[in-house]
Amino acid sequence: MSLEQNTCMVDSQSHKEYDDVVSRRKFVALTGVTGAAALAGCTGGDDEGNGDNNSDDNGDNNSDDNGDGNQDYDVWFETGNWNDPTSVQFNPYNPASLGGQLENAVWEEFAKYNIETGEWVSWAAANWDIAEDSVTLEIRDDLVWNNGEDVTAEDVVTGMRLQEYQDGEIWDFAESVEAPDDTTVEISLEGSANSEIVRWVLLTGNINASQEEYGEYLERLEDGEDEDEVMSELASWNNREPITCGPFEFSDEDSTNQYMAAPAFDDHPDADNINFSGYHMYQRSSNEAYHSSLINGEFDGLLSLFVPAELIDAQFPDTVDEIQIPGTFGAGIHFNHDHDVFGQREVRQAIAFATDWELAAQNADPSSKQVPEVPCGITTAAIQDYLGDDIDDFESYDQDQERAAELLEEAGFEQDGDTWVDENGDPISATVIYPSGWSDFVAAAETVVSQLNDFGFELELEGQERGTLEENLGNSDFELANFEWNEGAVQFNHPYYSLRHNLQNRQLNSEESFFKYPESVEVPARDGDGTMEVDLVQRLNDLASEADEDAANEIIKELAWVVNQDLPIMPVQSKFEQSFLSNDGWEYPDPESEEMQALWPLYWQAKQGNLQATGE
Amino acid sequence: MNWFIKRIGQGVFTIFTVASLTFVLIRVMPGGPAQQMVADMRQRQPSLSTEQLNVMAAQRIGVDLNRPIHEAYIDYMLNLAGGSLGQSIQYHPETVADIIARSLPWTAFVMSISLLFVFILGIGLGAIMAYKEGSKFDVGSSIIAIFLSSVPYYVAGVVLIYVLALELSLFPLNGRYPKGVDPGFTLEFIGGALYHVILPAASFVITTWGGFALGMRGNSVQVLGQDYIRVAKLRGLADRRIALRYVGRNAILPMWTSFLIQVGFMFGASIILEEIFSYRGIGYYMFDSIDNRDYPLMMGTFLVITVCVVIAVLVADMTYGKLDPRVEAGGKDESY
Repeated sequence: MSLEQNTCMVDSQSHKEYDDVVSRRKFVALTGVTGAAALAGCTGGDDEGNGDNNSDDNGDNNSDDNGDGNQDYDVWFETGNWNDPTSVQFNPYNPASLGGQLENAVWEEFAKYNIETGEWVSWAAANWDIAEDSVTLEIRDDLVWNNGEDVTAEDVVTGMRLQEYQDGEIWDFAESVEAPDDTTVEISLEGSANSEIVRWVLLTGNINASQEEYGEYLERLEDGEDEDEVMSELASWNNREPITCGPFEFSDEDSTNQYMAAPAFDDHPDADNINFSGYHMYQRSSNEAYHSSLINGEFDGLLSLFVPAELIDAQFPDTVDEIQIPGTFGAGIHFNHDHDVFGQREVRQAIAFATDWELAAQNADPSSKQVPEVPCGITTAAIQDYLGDDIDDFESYDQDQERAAELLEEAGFEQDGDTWVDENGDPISATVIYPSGWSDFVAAAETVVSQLNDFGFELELEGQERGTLEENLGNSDFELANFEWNEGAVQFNHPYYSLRHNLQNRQLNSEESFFKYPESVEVPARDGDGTMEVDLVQRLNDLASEADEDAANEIIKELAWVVNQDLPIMPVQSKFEQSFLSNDGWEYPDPESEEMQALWPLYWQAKQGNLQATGE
Repeated sequence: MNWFIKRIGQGVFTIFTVASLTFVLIRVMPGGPAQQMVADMRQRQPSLSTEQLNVMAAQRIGVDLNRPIHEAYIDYMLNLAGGSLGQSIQYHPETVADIIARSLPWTAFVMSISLLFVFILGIGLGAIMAYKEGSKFDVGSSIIAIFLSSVPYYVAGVVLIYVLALELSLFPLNGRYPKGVDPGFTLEFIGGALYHVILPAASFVITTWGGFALGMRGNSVQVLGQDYIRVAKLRGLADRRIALRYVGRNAILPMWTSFLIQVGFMFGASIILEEIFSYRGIGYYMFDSIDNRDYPLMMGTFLVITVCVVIAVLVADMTYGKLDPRVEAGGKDESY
């Protein structure tokens, strides 16, 4: 880690004119490299300009102050991701090699959701108001693009309007989007909408499309040019020189074959929060390579990576802190509901009762996996918020093999020796497919299958490469699959999304649920008296449009009940996202503190001024 | 002349058959480009919902992949006959021909350097081993040659990267030339390109020279036992003249075929080697196209490699008779 210390920083706020000529960060680099700090009348850095002395060496911390109480260091935050650094691009409408995780640094999110507190922290959106038929978003007035232009509401409107042509989620609710002034975005709603869902959709968005870059595409579309042609052109554009508005900017020039460079953007209004040079994003192509880079101290942190606790304990240096944040998903057994056997509710429930999910979590990794309190299509972090005391009415499916046997007998199966057979004497047999590269999913699948085979099933495991697996799943060409029971995007923390994922899945097949779950089901009534018929499509639409919070919560409970009773998917475990930061040369809040429970600490904490280089 | 036409006809037929088989095999591979793109994005960056990603991927790919395979095949073959290899999906809007045009020279560069050194080392050392048959040098060199020939080139590549690039930082880890250097006839660029080619080329050379050396040794030993060599010695000809004109020329002849077949092997091997070194030659793009299910690019790169192998073997067949008049054109020693 190269380190240069600027020991006589010019106050960027009181030297605006000078900033115009030499940016604050360039000045840091200049003084660090050439030792030119002396020109400003004070000393700093060592003679070789490598700046590896710390603040104690100069004996005067105050003189290092850059005007905001922070010292600036010419040190890069080294991290990694999967993308080839030479092919990553930043056009948000092109899905190929998008961002390489640096979009978290170079784009600005409207607000950030803290999973621990359940609160939104405003960021690029100064505030927002969600009314019955409209939404008003006030944009911060101090944001600037890195080409010097102000970020305006018109930029946001351009971005949102283009999203309409890509089925952006905001257009599930929006009728039109306008910018009445420079900082106000007015969204007219098509009809009544659930304000909580609208908030999720709206605030998880980013300011990532400047009018200068993307306005021409919108103009062409609005001028009546062929939509397919324009959108195909837009979706094919690889933007390697993006106009960005975050506190960091992507630099193609500074990037190499080994890493992408995102230097700090000095003209960002929060530039004083950043006291390091920026991010270097290296490419790593396997979990083992990431592990090695964290163990060897090559990385200062990592966005997210599955690392078993035993590896962390045994090999990770003490300087590496793990930050666990409840994830939205984990391994879940997917049933093909068209299957003669697994299409039966009793069989699905029997499978749930016959297996020990705790053991599956233990085998996958006890520290980063947890068992859902009750399977109900709601994330572990949100389950108490939405079900409250009613959670006691829900079936937890604790392992109970006697109950499993009863259910199978009810479904017409019988035990022949150690094997469960149907009325024709055929055993319950199937192939369980799973993503072969995902070690935690592999462990979960192996545990569940082993337990079910001990119980009297004849199941086989078949690991498949991700693209192959998704094609087979999308074509409903499977019997059982171990796959994610919810999606990973942050909005899937809200029950509407996770329930929709469980009940009306359009993840891999746009026409129907890839696991062939029906659109309407009959389940036991919640009060235990008879049954209730639930039109899932209708009720999900009701939930999306229900403006009354209490009524919306009732729909959530109803749909969660359906999931709990009918088990469209059996969620075996929920994962914690594992994010990593190194305190070797960096300081940040307590890894277990509330404020770290927002995705992703290595970027969000830096934006907040909480991730700082220490110069050590 | 008929023989030449027949051989070229066979070559064209081989290319056509391989192209047809490849087309079918590629299309029946599980997972299409859209699924691969969406799966990739979902795994690496889950901030967008899959539904939105599906629309984005469809717009990005922009071609109808759901047409019946026979229609797609006929279209592809007609375009191919017209000289078009189509448009890449991953690198859209670049054409496959453009990608091949900018990557093939780099693969040819690695291969040329590799083959040059393989030939010099293999032939030179093989000849010396034959002259010193039975000596410690011969035995030692033979053992080393056998050992290195049995090491796969990609293992050598990984070891070289680990030791010389990662641990000792003597050579670059990957790439074709230094970042920031503009390609052109400048010392900086040529020097940088040579510096970057050392490790990939060394992986080939280290694991290939041994086979050539042993072949050359065997041929030379055989020639050295011939009567005409004895006669030449009795005539009092200079050793140097005997070594170069009598032994060398005759021993090297069978190596010509091995040399050209090696060209074909190296094209195939470039797929793995260039991936290991992130060296953006044609093999790198082929690997990348498989990863992304980029059908047109996969077909294009595979076709180029096939054509190169067929041409190499054809050249070997056609020129061997010229080099060695004892072998009659159209004889039984055909390579196909």
